[in-house]
Amino acid sequence: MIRTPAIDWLTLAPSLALLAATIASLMAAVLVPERRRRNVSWFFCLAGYAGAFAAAAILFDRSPHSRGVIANALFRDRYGALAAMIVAGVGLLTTLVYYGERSTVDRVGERFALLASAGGGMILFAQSANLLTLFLGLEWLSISLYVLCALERERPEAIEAGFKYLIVGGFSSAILVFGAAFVYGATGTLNLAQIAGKAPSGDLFLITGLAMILVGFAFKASAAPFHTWTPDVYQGAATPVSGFMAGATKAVALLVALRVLSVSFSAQEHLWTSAAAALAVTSLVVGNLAALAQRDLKRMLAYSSISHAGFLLFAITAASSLGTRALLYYLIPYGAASVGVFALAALHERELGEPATLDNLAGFGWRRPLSGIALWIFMLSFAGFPLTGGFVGKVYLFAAAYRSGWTWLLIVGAVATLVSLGYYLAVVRAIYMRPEPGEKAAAKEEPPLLDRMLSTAVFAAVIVTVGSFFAVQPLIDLAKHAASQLPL
Amino acid sequence: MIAAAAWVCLLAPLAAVLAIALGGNRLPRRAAGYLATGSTVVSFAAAVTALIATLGNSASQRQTVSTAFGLIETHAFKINLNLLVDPLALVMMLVVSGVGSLIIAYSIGYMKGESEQRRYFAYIAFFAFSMLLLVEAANFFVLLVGWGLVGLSSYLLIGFWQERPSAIAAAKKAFIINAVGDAAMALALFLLIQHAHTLDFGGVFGQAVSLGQNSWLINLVAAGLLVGAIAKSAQIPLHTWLPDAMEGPTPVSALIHAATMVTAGVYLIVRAHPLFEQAPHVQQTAAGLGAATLLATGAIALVQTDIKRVIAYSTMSQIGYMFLAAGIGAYSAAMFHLVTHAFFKALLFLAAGVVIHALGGEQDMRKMGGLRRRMPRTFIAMLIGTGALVGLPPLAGFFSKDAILATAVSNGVYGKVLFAAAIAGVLLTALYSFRLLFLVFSGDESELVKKSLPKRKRAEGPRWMTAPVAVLTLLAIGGGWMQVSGLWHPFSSFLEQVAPSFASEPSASREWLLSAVSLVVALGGVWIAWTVYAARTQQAPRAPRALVEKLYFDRTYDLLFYRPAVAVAHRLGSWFERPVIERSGEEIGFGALMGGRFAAAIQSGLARTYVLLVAAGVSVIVLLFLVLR
Amino acid sequence: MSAGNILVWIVWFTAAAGCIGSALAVVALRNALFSALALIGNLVSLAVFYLLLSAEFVAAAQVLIYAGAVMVMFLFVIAYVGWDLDIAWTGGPSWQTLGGIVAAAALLAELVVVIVLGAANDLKHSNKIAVDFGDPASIGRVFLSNHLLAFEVISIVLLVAAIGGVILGAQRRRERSGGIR
Repeated sequence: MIRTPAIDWLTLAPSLALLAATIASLMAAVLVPERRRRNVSWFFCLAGYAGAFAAAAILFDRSPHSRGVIANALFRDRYGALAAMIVAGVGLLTTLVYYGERSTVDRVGERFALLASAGGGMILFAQSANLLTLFLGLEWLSISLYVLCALERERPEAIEAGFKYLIVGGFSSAILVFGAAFVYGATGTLNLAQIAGKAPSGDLFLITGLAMILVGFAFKASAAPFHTWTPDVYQGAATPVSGFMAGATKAVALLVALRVLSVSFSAQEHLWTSAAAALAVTSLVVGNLAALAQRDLKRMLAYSSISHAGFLLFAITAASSLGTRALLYYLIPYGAASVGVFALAALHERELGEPATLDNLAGFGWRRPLSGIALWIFMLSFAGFPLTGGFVGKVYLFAAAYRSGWTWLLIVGAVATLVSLGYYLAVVRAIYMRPEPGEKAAAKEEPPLLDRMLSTAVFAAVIVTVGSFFAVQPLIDLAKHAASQLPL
Repeated sequence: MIAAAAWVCLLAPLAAVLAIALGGNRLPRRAAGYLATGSTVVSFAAAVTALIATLGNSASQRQTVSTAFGLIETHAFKINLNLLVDPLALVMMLVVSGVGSLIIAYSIGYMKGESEQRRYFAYIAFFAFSMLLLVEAANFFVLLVGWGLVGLSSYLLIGFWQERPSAIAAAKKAFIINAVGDAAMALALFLLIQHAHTLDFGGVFGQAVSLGQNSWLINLVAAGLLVGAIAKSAQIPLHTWLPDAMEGPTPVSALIHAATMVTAGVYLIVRAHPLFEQAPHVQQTAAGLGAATLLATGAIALVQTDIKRVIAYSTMSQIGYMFLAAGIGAYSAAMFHLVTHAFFKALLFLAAGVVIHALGGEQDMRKMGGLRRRMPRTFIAMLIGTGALVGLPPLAGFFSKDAILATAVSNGVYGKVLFAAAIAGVLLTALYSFRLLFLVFSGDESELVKKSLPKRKRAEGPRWMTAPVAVLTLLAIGGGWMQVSGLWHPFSSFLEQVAPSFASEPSASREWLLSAVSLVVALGGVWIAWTVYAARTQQAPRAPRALVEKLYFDRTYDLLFYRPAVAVAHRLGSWFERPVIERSGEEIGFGALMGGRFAAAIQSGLARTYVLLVAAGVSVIVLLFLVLR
Repeated sequence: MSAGNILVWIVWFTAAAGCIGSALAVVALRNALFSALALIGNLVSLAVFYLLLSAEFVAAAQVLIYAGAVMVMFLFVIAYVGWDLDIAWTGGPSWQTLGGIVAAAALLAELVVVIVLGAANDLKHSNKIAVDFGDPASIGRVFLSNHLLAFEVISIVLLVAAIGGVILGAQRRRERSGGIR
């Protein structure tokens, strides 16, 4: 008789909700008549994310102490629950935006199924407590995203981007597994909590494994020099999906990285903090400089997300409770603004029927005053301006880096923020430019009725972006509860 | 009561911004102007209410802190979103909302016919909100928020005419230099959080002494704040953005780059005086920089030909006086000059705006001349403004500037040096400001004037423009009388509670004597300007090259920062990003993919490069770890 | 050194040589069909390693599933698409080749150093292993106890991958037959 481990259903509930949504959407693709298919599978996806959010919130409430469940495969703790809430929130908004995407007419059931499934993978990834579930969660989310990206048949770049993502992503996953094997070789365990202390801190296998695992995370977080896929994929994928990747994938990659590093590799702190600092600086330099040169809005946002990976890595560099809190806090406005800005790019694309560039954005702010202001707010939040959550987040991250003695990193960050203003403000300026005569015809046409789902998502994203500035304290408290469960 | 007035004062312009922004195209263009003006008038009324209510309290009770809610609260420190109304804040609130509403009303006339008025008025009302947030802040965090937001709105307004490349360049320059200041300030605030565990003014200033007189810590904090102040107030060496900022519409120059925002640095030093007093060297540096700025920019102003740039240099020079005063601890003198300067400098800008408006946007003084007969009222306004700037009695600048001069000379050797600079500055001020006046208004009518102003027609603009000029003219005449040395000093006794001056007070007789001296110097300057530019009995000397080149500051910065940065960016671009990443998407034909050759996607070469980068990254990190182990 | 040991060494070296050689052949051969065949060789030689490590079940699974089923699929696809893809290493700047070799060599050198320094002692003696190590029963027990969740999640991952394969494959087929939408 085999003794199967006790199953903690509450811990599984967020990813199970999304798994159920995946299967329901898939079923809808077969069983529901074509004209109602989009609504039905969309609804399942939305309900899946809403359910995941609710489940994660309950899990957060009921997990005052961190512990391993299901034979130590998952952590049941607030850190993972908050990560799940961030993923579910971003996913919820993305689903709203994705509804009106023109290409969803085709294979609509599968699209929403994959969107839900990606979220499920992310949540499992965020909760994982051993290297095996960690890798499987990573693959679950990655494969969903590869397919979701390659599905975009209307875009010539999409298939290419999807395959590039697959090849390079597969390579980096392989490196992560290789690293995990080294770690197992050094310690004889896959359990994150038991890795620490099993081998001397300078063990060659252990640190080689650490380096390789770090690369796997850096790839998913699109930190330079492992960022190369990002611009292609963001440009090629359906615009709402790009927002999802920017807001959610990066978030879980960094959160899991911080968890693994702090739980399993506390003895090697001096190594991974230096590596994180180096990655942060590279990302800031590459992301900011390349973003300045872009005219395509989505490519520019991709580089902006690379530079944000740099800022967010400050939290890992700090390796402190303050840094963890800063990371958890910052991901909330950052995720909202990412979805919001890609939603607006999608809106613009749908109106124009071509990719959004800084040139054809001219006049956007006049045609759609509310969307113009929303874009404004998102850009200012990215740039770290007051009255948006981006400001508090950046201040927090900088404070964490400063507190841990990384003063020079602060200076790099300040310069990078300065440079980043160049392209963020360029967007703001562009939308209030007068359109070129040639493009006026397109602009003069009566703008199509606003997609109500998309407007709702943008509105919610604005509320979160601005609200996180004014309601700092409750969010910080959440982050604090979650952060206190990491051994930092 | 006071708290409610403070919130109304702060939020009224923000409400106008939201109304204009949400209204979008549905809102008539004129309505945007009325909304913005009305909201600042409401702010002004609220500020007056707060002033009256505050005056009702006894002198020691004149501080009101109103907390909206806590923003951040940790065991180490907490930050609230709270406002502070005290005499110092009140003075600034009155200036910002009062002068602000006049200038915004003026822009209704000035911007008439502009197709993007809504954007203009939304921006300028947003500026008013940001500036009020800055001056009403009760802690350094909120102050920094306002500090950043005024920089942003200044950026947007300088670049308002975005079809002009020079405007965009100027906006960027202003923003970058200000961001340097912001960063320095933010670092100072980090230090304060770390060591004082609070950012509240009361809390920080209460601990100022315990942080140690002249310790490295307090010196660093004060230095950080000072860098922020000189960047915002365009003092040497971070002054180069202000002349370029004249690319913005003239009312913007009047409001932001003369009356309010650029004086925020002075406000900051006065506000944070307990910190600066613990770091005497930093404070003396502020005074020294002020003196250097007032001399250098006064000299550069002599050779400028653009009417607005002359006034811009004059602004820096006058703020130099304020820094000088604040640096030697004469806070009420600095604030007094700030207030009168807001009156007469706004007047000068607006009057210059009337001229520019009438001449169809021409700003070159060499093409002007003889406007006295065509624009008599503007001439009088300009004459009064210039007189106030130079410090001729009984105009506003006379009282405020002489208070600074007299305090300087009574403060030791350093004070005497500063005084020498200041008195030389008076001569320069008289020279450049009357040069401007004579070039524009005296002599024969130039070609341009004849062409753009048809005969026998008054050309002084609509009433929306002339009325604010008239009000400011009255203020420039009478504004100085609120404090007369030896007779009454309500202004400094009002500020005494917040910012007690530590500079030794000059005696009244000495002050009057010095006034006479500076008057003689000023009149000498006026006489020289008269002989050269009005009577033309003397030939003007050739302008020294160094002055034309603005003392080489721009060139040096260009050489030191801009060019290396551009070079690095280009190198990075051409060596790394472009070949590796830029070309993706073009490299393979999509047709091949459609034909079913999945493999082709892998062949694009870029995927290989990406994998190569990952592999290289792995080997570097592994090596790094093995070495660092 | 006993005769058995020598035999083990001989088998090990043969498998190692086969493994490296076939891996090189996979990337170096120009004909996709030959590459796929070389990959089979690679998978089989890995199975030999598993045998040497007393993991008989894994070795058998490796041969059956990878060298068998998966590779058959591979060959089908290649036959379907055509094996004339003789452009494997053409195109792209020459620095790519050089850079690839340098990066791979650096990584290899580092790993060799790590393994030699880190595991040299372990290579000198053999460990006793449990009798039931690597047999199907013990593997099944691990799947249902310690790694139950992972076992279940694998099925989800495979499901998602299958969905992806079906969608992308069907999409291509429809485009070929001209029936878009």
